[in-house]
Amino acid sequence: MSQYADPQVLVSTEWAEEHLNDPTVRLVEVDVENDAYDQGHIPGAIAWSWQRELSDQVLRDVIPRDKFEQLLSQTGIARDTTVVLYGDNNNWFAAWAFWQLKIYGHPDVRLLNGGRKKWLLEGRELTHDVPVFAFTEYRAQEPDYSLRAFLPDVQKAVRDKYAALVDVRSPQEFTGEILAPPGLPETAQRGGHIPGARSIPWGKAANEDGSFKSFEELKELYANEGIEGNKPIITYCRIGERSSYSWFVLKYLLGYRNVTNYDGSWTEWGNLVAAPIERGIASPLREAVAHAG
Amino acid sequence: MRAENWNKQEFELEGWTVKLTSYQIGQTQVAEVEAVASGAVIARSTDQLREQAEKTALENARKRLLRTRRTDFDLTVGG
Repeated sequence: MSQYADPQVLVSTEWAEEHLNDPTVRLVEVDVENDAYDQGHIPGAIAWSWQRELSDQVLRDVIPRDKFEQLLSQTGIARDTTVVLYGDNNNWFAAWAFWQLKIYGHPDVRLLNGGRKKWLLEGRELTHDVPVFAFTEYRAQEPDYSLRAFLPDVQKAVRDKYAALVDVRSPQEFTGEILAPPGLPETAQRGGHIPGARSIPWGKAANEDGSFKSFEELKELYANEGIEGNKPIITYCRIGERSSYSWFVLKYLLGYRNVTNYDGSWTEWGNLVAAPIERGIASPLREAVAHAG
Repeated sequence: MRAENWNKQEFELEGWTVKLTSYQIGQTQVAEVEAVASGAVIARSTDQLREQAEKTALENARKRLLRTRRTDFDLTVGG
């Protein structure tokens, strides 16, 4: 079995357990709902709230550089700390935090393969103890927005087809049957997808225990939809966290160089006035249905 | 402490397939409801009693799922 393109960005649960007392490693749990951490977490792990600490709720943006520096400083992280992120829902927001740490140039950030789910399933140690670390004077780099797609990039991709759009939401969201994942708030006026996007739900990249599928399986998964890394790739979902997960897979596990995460995602495109959308199944399938009919 | 005494069930709830997973951490019973379509945990509850944790999680999941509307256009037609 081939190794992932950049295996350094992924750690196993065994590795994490071996480094629980390693002062150069900081475990950070980032959940969809913060009560998961309170129910029990990996010993030594701290929690970040994606809403309160990793989002600028006024601008609807990633946190600014000074807030990022403050967050890492108060959680005892220095530039040479190995940050290992994990969380619930197969690392949805852990991947989103990973993306932000990469934007601000943290040298060594990794994901725990399988996240909280795998750690619990394997019966590994949990605690209620909340660690406190000495403050640091963290200094971040200027944000690297080459990892991020903004609306004009996506508009250009639709117009010029210079990039492949990968919609990682559920098939029902892609077709427009529903406006948001079942049970989660509806945040768009319309259902459907960005014209030309390929539907490759994030969950297809995960095994039942939450870990990532093998290099070969992932390569085939995306290749079957024409995504082979020979042109830029833009991932999107509803608010940008599931697409961070798939961005991670494409960029670091498969090693495709030019992959960006469109965190504006469907809550931006689906609400845009006069922006074109497609509904129903993906275009080639639609053509096949038409021919069969 | 560890997560133990796992129980998993999959069934329909308000027209959606959900997975109810319950387990114990220390003296606390945890129940989570995942919407299978999205892979997202949409409700989580804890209690001293497993039945109560599951009941509360399912009630919360039901409320959330009831707010999910399905559109009624023909999915075979694009545009």
